[in-house]
Amino acid sequence: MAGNREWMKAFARQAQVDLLAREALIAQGQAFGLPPCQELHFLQMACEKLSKAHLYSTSNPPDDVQSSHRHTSTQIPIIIREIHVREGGRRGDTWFPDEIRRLAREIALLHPQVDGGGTRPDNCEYPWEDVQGNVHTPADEAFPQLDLARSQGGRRFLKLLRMAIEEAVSRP
Amino acid sequence: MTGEDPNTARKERPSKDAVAAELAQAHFDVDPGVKQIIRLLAPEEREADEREPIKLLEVNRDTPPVGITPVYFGTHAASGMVYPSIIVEIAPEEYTQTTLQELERRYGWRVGPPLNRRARRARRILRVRRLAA
Repeated sequence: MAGNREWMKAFARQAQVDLLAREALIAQGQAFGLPPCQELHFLQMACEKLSKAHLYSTSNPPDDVQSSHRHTSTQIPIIIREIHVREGGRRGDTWFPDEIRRLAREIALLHPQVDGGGTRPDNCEYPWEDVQGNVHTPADEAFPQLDLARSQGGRRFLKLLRMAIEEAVSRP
Repeated sequence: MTGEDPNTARKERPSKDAVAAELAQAHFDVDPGVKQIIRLLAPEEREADEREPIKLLEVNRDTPPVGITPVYFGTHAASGMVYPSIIVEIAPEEYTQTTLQELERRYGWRVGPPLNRRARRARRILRVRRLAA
């Protein structure tokens, strides 16, 4: 039976290529008319797998580590904050942890099974119905809450996410 | 003869206690939600092993109460993290005897000393002294 270390490495590696796929989609996506939901899908998957890689790094990962989508919103803020500290983030950046938590929650909500207790059916994969009875298609949504390239916090988040994934992949 | 004397290198390595205190301070500095940080300790022999991570239990008012999920980090010499670390973040309402018992039962970690936020002024003096030295 595979050990925790093997699972950790496997999840970290898959997070790495999910993020790479996101970047390729952004670079080439406009030419094909791809909407934001596609790159956000890869971002959500990269974050979820990085969370699972970190959970498998401990001696006793939670029982639901393989199946649950609940860990992204709680693990990613701790992971990104730590990389932020290691990169010299200090007292003047106190706004950033709040922004990391907001972004991590929004990214977690992109998964169709994570809906904030029924309050947030919006996701990047499947059509959903809002409280007024309107059906929304992810392909036609702008997802302005996750326009990462246009905010200072979003750009820094992405940079630190990439570093966190590389750190996990390169662990001995 | 080439290479560093391993004994000298060992002497220059900061202690786990010192690195834990610095890490806790960095978290207090950067994250206003952090209210308390408590060191978690493995059994003595395991804790003395340099490969055993520094473990911090952080009570954070901005984290949701979702139970115990330790997050592991490898070493990062460039930032002074010469030991691996584990962060356990909990909401204030989760800082209970039940949580502490769960940490001991599930991971074998007992509660160690609190790591207190250093006063800003004290740190400024320390920095000035360090620069002057």
